[in-house]
Amino acid sequence: MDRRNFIKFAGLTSVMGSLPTAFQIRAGQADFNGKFLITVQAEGGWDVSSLCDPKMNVPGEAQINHWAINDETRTAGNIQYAPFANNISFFEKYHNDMLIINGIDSQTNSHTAGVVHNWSGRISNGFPTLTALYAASNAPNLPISYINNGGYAETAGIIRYSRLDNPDSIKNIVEPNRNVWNPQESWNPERDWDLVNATRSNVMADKLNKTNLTFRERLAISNYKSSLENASILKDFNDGLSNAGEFEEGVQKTNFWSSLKQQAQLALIAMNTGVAVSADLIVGGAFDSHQFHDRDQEESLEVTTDGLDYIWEFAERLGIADRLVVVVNSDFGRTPYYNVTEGKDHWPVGSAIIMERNVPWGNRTVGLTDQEQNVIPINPLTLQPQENGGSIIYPKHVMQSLRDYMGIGNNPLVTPFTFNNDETFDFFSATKATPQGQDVRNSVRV
Amino acid sequence: MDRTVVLFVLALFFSHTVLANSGGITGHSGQQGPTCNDSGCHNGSDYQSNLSYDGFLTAEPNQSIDMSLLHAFSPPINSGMSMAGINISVSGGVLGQGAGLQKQGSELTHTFSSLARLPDNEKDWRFTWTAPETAGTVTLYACAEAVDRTGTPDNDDASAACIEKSIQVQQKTVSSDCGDSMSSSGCTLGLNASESGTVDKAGDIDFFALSVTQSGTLTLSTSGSVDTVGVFFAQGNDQYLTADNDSGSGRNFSLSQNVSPGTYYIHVRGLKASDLGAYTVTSSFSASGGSSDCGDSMSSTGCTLGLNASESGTVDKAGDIDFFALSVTQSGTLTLSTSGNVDTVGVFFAQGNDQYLTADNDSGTGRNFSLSQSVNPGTYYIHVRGLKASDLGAYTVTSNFSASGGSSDCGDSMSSTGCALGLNASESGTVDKAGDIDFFALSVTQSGTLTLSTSGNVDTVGVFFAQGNDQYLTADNDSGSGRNFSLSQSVNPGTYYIHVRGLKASDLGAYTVTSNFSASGGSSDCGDSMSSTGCTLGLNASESGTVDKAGDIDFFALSVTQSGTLTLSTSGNVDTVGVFFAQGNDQYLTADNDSGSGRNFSLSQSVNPGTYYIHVRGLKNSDLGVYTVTSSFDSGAKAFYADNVSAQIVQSKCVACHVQNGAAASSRLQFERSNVTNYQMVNNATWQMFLSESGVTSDYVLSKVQGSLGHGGGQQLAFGSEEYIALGEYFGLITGEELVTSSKGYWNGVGLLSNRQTLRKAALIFAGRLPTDEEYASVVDGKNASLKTSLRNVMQGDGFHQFLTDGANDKLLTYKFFQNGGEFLDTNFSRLPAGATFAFEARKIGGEVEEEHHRLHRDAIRSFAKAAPELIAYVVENEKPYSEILTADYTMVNPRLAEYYRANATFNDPSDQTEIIPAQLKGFMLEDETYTHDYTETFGLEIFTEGPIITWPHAGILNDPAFLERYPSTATNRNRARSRWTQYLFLDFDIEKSAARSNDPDALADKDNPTMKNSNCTVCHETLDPVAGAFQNYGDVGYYRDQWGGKDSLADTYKWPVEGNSPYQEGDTWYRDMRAPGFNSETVPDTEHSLQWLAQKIINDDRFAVSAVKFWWPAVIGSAAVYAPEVSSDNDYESKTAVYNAQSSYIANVADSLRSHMNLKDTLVDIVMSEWFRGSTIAEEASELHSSNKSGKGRLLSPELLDKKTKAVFGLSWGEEYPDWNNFERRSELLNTHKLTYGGIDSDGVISRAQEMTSIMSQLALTHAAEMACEIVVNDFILPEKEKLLFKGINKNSTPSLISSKVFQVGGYEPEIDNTGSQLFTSTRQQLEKGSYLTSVSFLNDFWDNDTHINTDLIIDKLRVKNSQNVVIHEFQGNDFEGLAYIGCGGQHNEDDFSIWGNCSVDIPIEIDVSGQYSIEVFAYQTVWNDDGWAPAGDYGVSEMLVGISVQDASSQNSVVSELYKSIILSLIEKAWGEFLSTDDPEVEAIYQLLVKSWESKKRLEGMNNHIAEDGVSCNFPFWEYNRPEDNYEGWLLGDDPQAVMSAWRTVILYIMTDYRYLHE
Repeated sequence: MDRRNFIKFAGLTSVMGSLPTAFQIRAGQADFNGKFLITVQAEGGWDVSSLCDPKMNVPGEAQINHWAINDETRTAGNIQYAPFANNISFFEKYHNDMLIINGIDSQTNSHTAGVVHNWSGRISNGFPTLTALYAASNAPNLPISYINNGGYAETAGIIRYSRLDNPDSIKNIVEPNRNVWNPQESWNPERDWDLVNATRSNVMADKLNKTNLTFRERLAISNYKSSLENASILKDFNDGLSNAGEFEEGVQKTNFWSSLKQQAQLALIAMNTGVAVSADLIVGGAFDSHQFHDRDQEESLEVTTDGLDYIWEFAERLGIADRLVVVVNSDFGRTPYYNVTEGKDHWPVGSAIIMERNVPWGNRTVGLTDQEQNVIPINPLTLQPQENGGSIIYPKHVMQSLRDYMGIGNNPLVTPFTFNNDETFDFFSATKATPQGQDVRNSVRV
Repeated sequence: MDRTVVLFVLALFFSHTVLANSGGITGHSGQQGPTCNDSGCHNGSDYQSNLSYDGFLTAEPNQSIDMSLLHAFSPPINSGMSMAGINISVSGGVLGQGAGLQKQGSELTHTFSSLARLPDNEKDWRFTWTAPETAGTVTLYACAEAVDRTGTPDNDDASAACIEKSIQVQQKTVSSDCGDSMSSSGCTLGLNASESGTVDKAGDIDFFALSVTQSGTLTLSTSGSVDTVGVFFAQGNDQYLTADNDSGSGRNFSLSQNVSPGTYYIHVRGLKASDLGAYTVTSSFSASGGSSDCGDSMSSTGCTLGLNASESGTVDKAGDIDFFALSVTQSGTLTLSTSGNVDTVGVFFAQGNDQYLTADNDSGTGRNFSLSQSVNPGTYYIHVRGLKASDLGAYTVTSNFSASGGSSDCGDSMSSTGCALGLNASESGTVDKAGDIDFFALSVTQSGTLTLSTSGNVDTVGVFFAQGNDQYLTADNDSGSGRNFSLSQSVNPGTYYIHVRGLKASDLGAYTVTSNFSASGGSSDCGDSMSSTGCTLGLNASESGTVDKAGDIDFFALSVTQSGTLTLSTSGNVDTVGVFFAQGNDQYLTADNDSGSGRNFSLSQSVNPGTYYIHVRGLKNSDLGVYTVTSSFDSGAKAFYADNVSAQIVQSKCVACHVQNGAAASSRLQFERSNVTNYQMVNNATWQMFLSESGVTSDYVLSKVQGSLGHGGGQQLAFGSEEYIALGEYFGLITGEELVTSSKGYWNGVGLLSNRQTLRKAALIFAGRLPTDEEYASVVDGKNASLKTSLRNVMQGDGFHQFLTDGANDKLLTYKFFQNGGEFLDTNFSRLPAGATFAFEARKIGGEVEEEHHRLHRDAIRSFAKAAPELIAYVVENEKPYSEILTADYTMVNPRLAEYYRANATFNDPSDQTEIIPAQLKGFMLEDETYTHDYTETFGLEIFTEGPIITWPHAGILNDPAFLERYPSTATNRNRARSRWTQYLFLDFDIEKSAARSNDPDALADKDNPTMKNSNCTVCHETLDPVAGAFQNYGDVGYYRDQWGGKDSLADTYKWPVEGNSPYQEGDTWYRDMRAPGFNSETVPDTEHSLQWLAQKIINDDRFAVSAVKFWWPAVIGSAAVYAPEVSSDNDYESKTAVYNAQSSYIANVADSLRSHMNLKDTLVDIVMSEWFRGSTIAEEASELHSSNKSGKGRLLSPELLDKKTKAVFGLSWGEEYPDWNNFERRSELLNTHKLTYGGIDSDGVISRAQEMTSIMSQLALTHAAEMACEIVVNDFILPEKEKLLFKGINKNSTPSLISSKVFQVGGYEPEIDNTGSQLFTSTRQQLEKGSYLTSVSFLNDFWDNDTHINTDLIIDKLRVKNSQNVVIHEFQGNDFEGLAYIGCGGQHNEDDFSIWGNCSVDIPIEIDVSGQYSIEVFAYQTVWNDDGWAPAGDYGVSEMLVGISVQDASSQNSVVSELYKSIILSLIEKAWGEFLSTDDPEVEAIYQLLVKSWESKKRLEGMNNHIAEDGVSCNFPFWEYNRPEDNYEGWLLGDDPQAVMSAWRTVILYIMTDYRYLHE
């Protein structure tokens, strides 16, 4: 769809039409009753052979995993995993609630390209995140509809993202005219406050009717106006923060500090209080383990799986666990061998984990890699390995399936970001899975 | 004839004695001497045989040519049907047999089967001949014998027809006597002059240019023995005028044409290919306006000739043309002729000069003309002139008109009757008189080829028209049998006309005209209808074709999109003729027969954009077969490439990667380097081929070179640059496109900030302040020069320093180390022994000393983290060459870091840790055996003896310790991250974003040193790794040569691997399994100084300046320079491309300037002066083009900028403090507490700034204003008038309605019980116009002592208003107030007084009926109370009472103060929003109304609300700081707001600070 048609399609014919629909002011905001979407971006390239695509060593060949010297691949339900970091407890607890997609070819060894590719579905810049699309499609006017705490954050102009990483700052500002040190008092008489708000609102409405604004100024007014008008329910969020008790502390590891749990806590409170529908959480771990691989991956994976556990536990506590979908991925994978500094370098093949409670597609693994961690093509429909004529899973397939699964695949806002997929993988089948192969490294030692 | 008869006839031949000759004969061609004439082999009568040769008389060695011999004879009447035989031989070369011929020895003779009856008494023998190898003259001999069919030698032709033709075998010469290219040399023919010419080869066309300077008649003719044809053109090839074949003497042409001043061309050629030889072409010009008897100007006088009438005329001079107008009133045939002795020519026109109808020379008697023409009603003209210049004298011109319905067999009027000719049918016709033209209409219902021909004895000419007279299509004279015509034409459905006439006036008689129609889709390979199917021939392409039947014309359409030269030729064995047309059939351009190889044509023509057609046919009907037609188009691209593209772009840019084995070796585009022979030709062809590939367009390539569409090499050419424009022009020459290569027009419809607005915005950004009045005044002239000067001047001071350091850190991100300083500064490591020892000594002492050390160490950390941004600031502020940021041989230190670095720096104040100056790191230690130390958990590192101490080999930012550590390395990364960021920051090259990405899993998984060997990897690593190598002396953290002994920084795992061998050799400083340290294709010459070498390379690279502009772009503009769009199918690709093109073009220009002066301040000025900074409005029609342009007005302020702006505009920042725990460095809510929430960065995990407002940010913005508004107002109100920033000219009593007021001291308290002690207070007189007013009395200093409970009230006894005559016009007793007035706080006192017990007012409305001077009198006194009632007498100070007169409705009535208010609002808008309005602007009025509403609502509050912090309201002003214990003064009183004035202004400030214009710029 070209731009002209896009505008026409979106029903935007005036000058104001140069803004995406998400920035148009709408009367009221329907309560959002759909699913919440969280992505966890493991920054730096995780080692899936120590997680959900486990590989064991073969005598006489380069070791792929030190943990496999004295241990072996485990299975939780139907899912194979590596007994590394805190994986055992994680997989044993959640295997029924997760779909593993192995053998995703990110087609790059570049961090930047890998991040763009895995989180937008396209290796070229310009396509928004799944979370941005989801928020824009479902609840563009919630005050912090889309939370992004870093990592890939492309919105392609369809929505704005909010950072949510300082609860104290937020608590101080959700009621701007309230004296935080003396909540019985306001900074300005309420009559003046209301007067100013009304005047400002009228002036901005008048401004938006002008036809000679720069794109940037129009965007500024629209953003500000909608931000103000949508902000009232931030009080609910503030109440949620107040009722949350202690905020989770960050975790200091050897080479990194992680606030994943606090990010999750804030995001889930935001969702629970009706101000957010999607969030990108960041594991700023030490996944880029060019040296000291085992230590850094262990610590990073531990933080990740602990964080995931926290997400589900806290969501349960808030009562929204049944509405939550979590997608976990990284830039790419790591080499199936150690380098001279006991590190592992970049490897284009990785995995994704999709989690949701009580779903028929849980407890399954789709996609396959061989003993050298190369992609084995599969039949997109049967999901069985198919060396000849099978298809390779690319990020676009994962993203397209997730768009469809989340119900936004055909949303007009998503249409301009259509992938050039030739095939669709039946990732969310209730019955089919990909056998994890007979390669020695993939076999379960009994 | 049945089969039996045939066999019988054959039997007769075989039994005859001449049986041998019936099978052919040799030795009788004449070559050997005897012929049948000589040998008497046939007897009989003279058949008057004639043998004529048709074919080339020249040939090239070994050339094979077609020959034809026509044997015509006239047998005796009684001889019956004849047959004919022949013997042909040549003196050289080789004959090839043709139809009916056989080869016997070297000769040809007829075959038996060829002996067919010849009803037309002629036989056409066709054969071929191949010329000998050597040049010379070859003679063709032939004798033909006509025989009867008796089978005996008797009654045959007694005189065989023989012929000898000499054929010149010669090398092809190209030197045509008068050129063949009209646009080049050719010949010139003067007027009334002659030139010699030669038709020197088949197809030769000589042309002669004639320059005519006045109107007149130009007559052109040839003389000589060659049968010439003349074609006359005006101005150029395109404007055909007339043509002639034989109107001259003999077979020469002669044509006349009325001409205007201009240049004309006469094309001279032979009629047939064999018509070769010399001729003389002569021009005769007769100017108009001579003494002609019948004028020479048709439009003026001339003569009139009646119908069936005669007029006398005289050709009275050379070139004289007499013309006669004839008026015809009905259709019919008009015959015009002359009589007399003059050799006259008549030319007949319809309606005017332009509509030529027919002409004649000698069809009349003697040398007079006689012509006939079918005419319709109208006016016609007969032009009469002498044939030659010498043909002068008197004549008589006569007209004969015969109305239609006469004897002409097929009418002469196309529009009336005429005849119809069916398709594939024949009709008889008769040329029944001189000039008779029969026409036949043919109706065609489908496309196809129509062939029309005549048969009979009349020498007919056929002219073929479409639709009507005007649309001439083709014509023929003798292509049919005998002297009949035969023509073919591709036709579409419609009606056509064939005109049949005799060739000469004497050619009269019966004929049969026949049509043959062949529908399209038949065997003709390329159709015959130009407007329908046909074929298309691409440029620089070939197509196969077949001349598959006689008369077949294949045509090929060529679409030309640009001017250039088009060459068309055929190859193959068919003798083809090419005729070249423009636009359609009508516009003949040129033609050729044999200029190509062999008998192929080759023609060239200058063309403009349009559609052209090449018609290909066989030269003769027998020329059939397959050919290939080829087009070659030269737009001038080749020459342009050599001059403007090859060296400038391809060799300097492209071949760095796009060559075999280059980084872009896998690309489809591969060039040759200049060391290859013919490299320019090859590369030019490469471009042409590339641009013709599927999916490749000029825009595609032009986008790539800009870095768009994922170009692996990033941006090589900036849009709008000279090279880019040249490349676009070159592509245009190849493709014919008009490519947009500059951004002119992008800013159409965009309005700019004024000079004052620009200066204000820039001053806030650059200096964190508003311009001074003087600075504003300096730019009001609107001149760019003034603005530039002022912009330059604001670039100084602390604000500018902060702009530079903040802007630099946004890119370098070294502020990450503000918290911990990283490893480089870790005092438990040994590299800075001074720092380590300093820490050790502190730890050893412990306690407060150790704690103090932590604080002092933080000084060093801050300096360490800031060093790189400070270095840039130092270079810029001191206007040093900007390149020094990479070449500086110093770093930046504060006193503490100077100690650590042993920097020997001299500070103005060594205790001031905010002073940062350039110095060298002289205390860096290498580790070797001389270094001895100990480490304990308690005291950390203790150094006993230091290792070698070196002076850091500074290379500006490149080896700034914090920069190195910000981008650390590992044993496998090997400085690649440093390389990546160095190139990103200083070479405008983001290898991660723009690198071609491999999707080859094998390549990505390659373990065999893929960065060196695998092209999928080398594509990046060729660029990445040498620069990484230049960082060879720096280890993972950034230490210089961190390995033992300071030998190198190579990883142990490389030097001494656990397994296998290492390529490492002693003394190496870089990895041998990587590319050598270097840059581009150069290698670092000096290991010790590789980074300094790299710095020089970078600053001398053109991209350095570009990167510098982009480095600072976001700091100035507020958004990063846009990246090149990558996917052309994206819905916003068009608008993104537009903004990218325009922006990259501008950046390139700014970079050019920076390169020339290296002064960043000037570059910052350049950026500010641009539309990118100043764009403030955009017309609706331009909005879509700019829909991806996020520059100009509307930039969201960062927390840092908002912090600075609030300080600049209002004099305060939110939560600004300088706490000791922060080393007295500045902190604020926006800079610290809320920085990230408001979209700022922490230089670590959050490194990109928010560009758009979110809900949370909006609430923060509101909080910012909500908390500050009161503080700002009180802070300014309490300042002395001169120091006020905001509220000059007003005070707490300056209510918006106030006209005048006066404050009185009501003192002298004595306890009283009545009002007898009241005093009179009289206001000054005030002019009041008729209307409604308020008189007011305010108590300004209500007093309450919390300890003694002493309370003061103001008692009003009465109030009077007097006019100028001192007459009381209004009087109010105190006890009247409650019913009349608005009362802020108070109530009745005693029986008839009124008590005001708080800081508030009583307003009493009055009416003034007569304009004039009025005064107010108030009788008042004060009371003092305590808990017991009247307080005892004492010194309680005085009460302040304000008596004022105000307008009744401040919102609608102006007052002095309201005007003042509006001017203050105006000033606030200017400062806060940058909008320069007038006081009557609706925006100002709206804010004033807001103020009035706020003021009125506050005034009407009941209770004790006379403080700005009224009940339930906080004010963030630090009142307590103003307490004065010495006199018990409470600062809180500063917030008293008895007239609600400050409260009202608080509302205005709140509004202004929360408007989007305050939060955006």
